[in-house]
Amino acid sequence: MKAERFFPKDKTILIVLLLTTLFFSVVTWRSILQTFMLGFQKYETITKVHWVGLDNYRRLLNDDIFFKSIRNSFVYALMVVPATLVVGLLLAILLNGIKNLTLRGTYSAPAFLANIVPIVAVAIVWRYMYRPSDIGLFNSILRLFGLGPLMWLRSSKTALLSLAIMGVWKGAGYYMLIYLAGLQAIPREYYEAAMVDGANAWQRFRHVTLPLLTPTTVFLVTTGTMGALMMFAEVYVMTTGEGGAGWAGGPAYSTITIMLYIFNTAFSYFHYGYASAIAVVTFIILVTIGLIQFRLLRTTFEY
Amino acid sequence: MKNPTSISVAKRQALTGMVRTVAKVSAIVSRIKASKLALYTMLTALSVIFLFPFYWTITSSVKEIAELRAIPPTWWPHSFTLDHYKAVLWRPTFPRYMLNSLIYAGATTAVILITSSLIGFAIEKFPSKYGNILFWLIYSTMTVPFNLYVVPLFLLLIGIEKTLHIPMRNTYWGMMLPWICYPFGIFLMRQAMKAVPNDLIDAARIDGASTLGIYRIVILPLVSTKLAALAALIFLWKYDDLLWPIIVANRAEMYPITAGLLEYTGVYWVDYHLYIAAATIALAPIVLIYFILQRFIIQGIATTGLKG
Repeated sequence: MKAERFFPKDKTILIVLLLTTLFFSVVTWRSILQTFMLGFQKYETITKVHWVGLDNYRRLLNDDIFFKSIRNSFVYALMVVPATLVVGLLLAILLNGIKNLTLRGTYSAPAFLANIVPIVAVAIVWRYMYRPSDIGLFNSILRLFGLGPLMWLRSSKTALLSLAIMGVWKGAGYYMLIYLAGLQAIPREYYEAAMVDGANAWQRFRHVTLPLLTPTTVFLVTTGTMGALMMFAEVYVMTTGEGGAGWAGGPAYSTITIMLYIFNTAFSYFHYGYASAIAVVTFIILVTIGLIQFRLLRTTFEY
Repeated sequence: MKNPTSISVAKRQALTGMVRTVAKVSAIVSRIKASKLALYTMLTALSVIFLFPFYWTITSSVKEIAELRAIPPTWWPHSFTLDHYKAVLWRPTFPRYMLNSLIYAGATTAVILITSSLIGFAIEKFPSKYGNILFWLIYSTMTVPFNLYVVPLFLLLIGIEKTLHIPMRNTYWGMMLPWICYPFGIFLMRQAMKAVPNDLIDAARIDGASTLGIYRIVILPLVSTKLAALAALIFLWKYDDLLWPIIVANRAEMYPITAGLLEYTGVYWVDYHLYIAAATIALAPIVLIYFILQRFIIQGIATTGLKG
């Protein structure tokens, strides 16, 4: 192969690359970098801006709602990600046991369909099923077992859990698909070797399947956590007007998430600088978590 | 002549052998059957759980209001009415929301298909240091969640309005602006370009084709499956968008359906029948697309293992 030139010789290609650079410089990269700059600014009006140094960050330290939103987002992620991993893996293993491809496709459809449908449309239906008292579907199911009724989205104790249950329903199909691809990449010889050594089904799962799925699990945990921490549409749809308040995130801030707080700060109160400071802190948290998870998961499952 | 008793012994042996084999086989079969039965029972149960919200949506959308308010709720509809659908469709805003969504998702998909394939082609088939650096810079932006930089993007729209006097808020192009070049699409299309043999490009070049001609006549047909997968995914994701469209649009007539559905959620949430009917209509195009393009969607997700 010839030594690579810095710029491509072809003029059309060069123009394509330069236009791409222009787009990203003006829109994407500039916005990412500007977030950091906005964190040090305060918008009086849309045109009247001044530098305020670390004021926004100082304000963050005393902002209870900010800490509440961080806590809620983490609790949500801790509920959703492990549960979705388990359900997704279970579905994938069951589906992998079906040899007939048409049948496998049919059985994978429900979970996958749940994953791809618009979140706003299904969130409204879930909200309808979560209605408190005996009128709601979930409460009438609980009643069959002599339990309930729960207040679901109307109570600050169960609201976040209600969101998480829907989150698992919504996300499992995607995890299933990724795990299924991971399972199919495991060579049959490994199982045959394990069977020759007398390993039972559980041992084969524990010592062959699970370790070999580690890259898949690491991928799902890191991206899943990021997605859960960035959750917005679900909480916006499910909690707007729930419990009597006009704002989403209720009752009593029990479901306010990081993204919801950024959104409200920027687009309801027009505190663009403060919202950006929250975004910067969140970004730093996300990067730290991603690195820690990557390290931990890689070393604990090393074989 | 053979001894009759020895025959019967042999027979008996053969018979017991056969019985043993049959018993063994049937034990294996029944074990397989039992595990198969367990497998299918669990899968069916899970499928029912995953499908139930859809069942509940559709059945609730045709129940009469009195039945919707029944305590406890009825498991299958005792009444049937299409009034809720009529009420939703007669609202002047609803068809507009659907149209907005289809325009936003459709046009964004078209733009992303063109830019992704062109940029993927340029970077993969005309290797240069500049192209490589650009690719890695684009790739690394995928790790920053879009949600975190919506504020400066919104300020950019206002900046464009102020300096260039082009309306950006409440416009389709304002909603589409961040997606013109889509890192995920560029990544996917660059992977797809790797499978296209360079000889074909050289041959077309010798025949006198221009670079764009090669892209259009040689490249696009060869990556059409990957394009279909990308198209399906992008359409699904953009149809699902809520955050960015509600930032760009503050007038109801520009809302996509995702934002429009929220119009029905007031402080006192009582018009269930309307939301459910509206949600069912909003789900319809996606379910339709899913059944038509299922293969491409699954392939697109499974081969890249990426989302968003």
